[in-house]
Amino acid sequence: MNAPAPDDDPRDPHLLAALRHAPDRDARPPAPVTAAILGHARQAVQPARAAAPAWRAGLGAAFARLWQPAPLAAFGTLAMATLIGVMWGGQPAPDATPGLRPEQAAPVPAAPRDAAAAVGSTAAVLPASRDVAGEQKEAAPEATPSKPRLAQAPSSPPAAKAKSSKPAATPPPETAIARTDAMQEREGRREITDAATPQAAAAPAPAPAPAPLQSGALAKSAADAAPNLLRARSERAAPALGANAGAAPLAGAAAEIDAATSGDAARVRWRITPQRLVAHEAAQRAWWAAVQTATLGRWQEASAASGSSAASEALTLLIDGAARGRLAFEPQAIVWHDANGATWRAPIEAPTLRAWQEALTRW
Amino acid sequence: MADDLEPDDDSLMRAFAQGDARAFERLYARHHAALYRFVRRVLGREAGTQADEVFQDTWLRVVRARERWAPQGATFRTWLFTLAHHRAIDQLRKSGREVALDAAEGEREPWQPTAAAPWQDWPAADSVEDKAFWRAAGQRLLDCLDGLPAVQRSAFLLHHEDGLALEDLARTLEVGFETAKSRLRYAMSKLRTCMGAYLPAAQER
Repeated sequence: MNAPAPDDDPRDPHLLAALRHAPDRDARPPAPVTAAILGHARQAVQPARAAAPAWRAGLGAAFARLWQPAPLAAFGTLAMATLIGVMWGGQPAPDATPGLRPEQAAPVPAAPRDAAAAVGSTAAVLPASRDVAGEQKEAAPEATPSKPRLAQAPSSPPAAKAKSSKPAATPPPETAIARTDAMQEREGRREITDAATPQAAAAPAPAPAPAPLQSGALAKSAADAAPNLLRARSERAAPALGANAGAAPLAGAAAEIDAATSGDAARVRWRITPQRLVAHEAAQRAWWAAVQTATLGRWQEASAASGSSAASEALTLLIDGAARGRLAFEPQAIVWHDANGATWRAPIEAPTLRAWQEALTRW
Repeated sequence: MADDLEPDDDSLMRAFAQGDARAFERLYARHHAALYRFVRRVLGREAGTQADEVFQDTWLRVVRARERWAPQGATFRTWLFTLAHHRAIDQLRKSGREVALDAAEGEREPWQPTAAAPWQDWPAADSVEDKAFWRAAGQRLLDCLDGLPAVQRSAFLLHHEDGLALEDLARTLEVGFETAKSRLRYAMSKLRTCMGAYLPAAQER
């Protein structure tokens, strides 16, 4: 009750007390009346919400589909190829990195150089891509992000790297120049294919790496391979996706949340502890979006049993009261157990994980 | 994340106008109990069965008016009780009960407190040791309220129960400041007289 204003008539304390103790002080509207009022209010605002998404929902769905690793990788590859093509269009491909040995940076014959210029955009990234590809083969079982390895590329001489990483398969640069055109062509095709992997596309700026095999034949093979870029990329990506089919395992849950909240926001809740449920409101939406964004492209399927014993703070997503998935935190990763029983793990930096967990304590 | 600052009624009403049904639920949670009591008491015992209808209709008016609602000097609560007051008075008229808009006409001067007033002997209003007395007094007050003209009843309830200042009271009743003040004083005078007549018996308990 408000305090009386200075010029207000004072309230009679006895009448006030009698009013407070009146037998109807706890009277509440009947539940059906309350339900009718709240239902009417929800219905009244629903058309406004439903009319807008007619176009917005389609747009949102299209973005959601594009926001998957495979389309993103394709776009990234095309964007990079276009950018490099524009940068070096009509010019010879750039020479190797500083520090390259003179014999590796030897000028190529004039005629093939033209051919190289024609496909400079692709050829220019080949050496770095090959290094990455070679290392990815070694690192495949680890299944760790390739960015750190890309960053190491300029620091180690390519020849030394070639000797140390694949001494049998890759001849030294001095002998590589003597390989047959056929071998080089095959090499070129393989390199083009490697260059189109999502990891290569995801690298923000490929470090300029030496081009020890930059011959006319190689450039020609690269030119031949260029039209097949997308096909080769998709061929390579297919098995990768097969092994990692849920590369965006949160996408399904996100779509379910969107669908549920478009009708009634109260249908989506997060269970933090067995006794504590919170609705999917602005804070929860922001948190969920941050998790989705940060984990994009990092998910790897894992067996449920392989979860770290240090996993903690499970957070269960409930839609209409049914559990649709569970998020758990490990010291270096976030884990998603989906409704189908699959387990996914995304490595995340510890500070980010801590920030997410702290946010949960404020829910 | 829990908000430390609870949004005010105006913000919630704006959010509801923009399509946030949950904002309406919060508004409803804040005001439904007080509004329901107010409607029941204004309608009195005879028309009390229509309280649910009046209460529901008041909220539906809020829903319908959400897009054109604007806080023009009055709070959401004042506006809400204004809607309920008008709806209740309409209901009383429809049910055949006379509603004198100028309820002070023909009445004597409002009651003025005197030292000899019987309620001077009442237990302290905030006393917790005499709850039975206050419960009986509360029931008596409802009976006394039933005897008031509807507009005086509204004035008293809005002022005492819902905490409206005289200025807001005048705005809610859509009358001048002095008229609102006059209605309130007449209402309090009658209630004090009515309660005082009851008291001796209560104190002999």
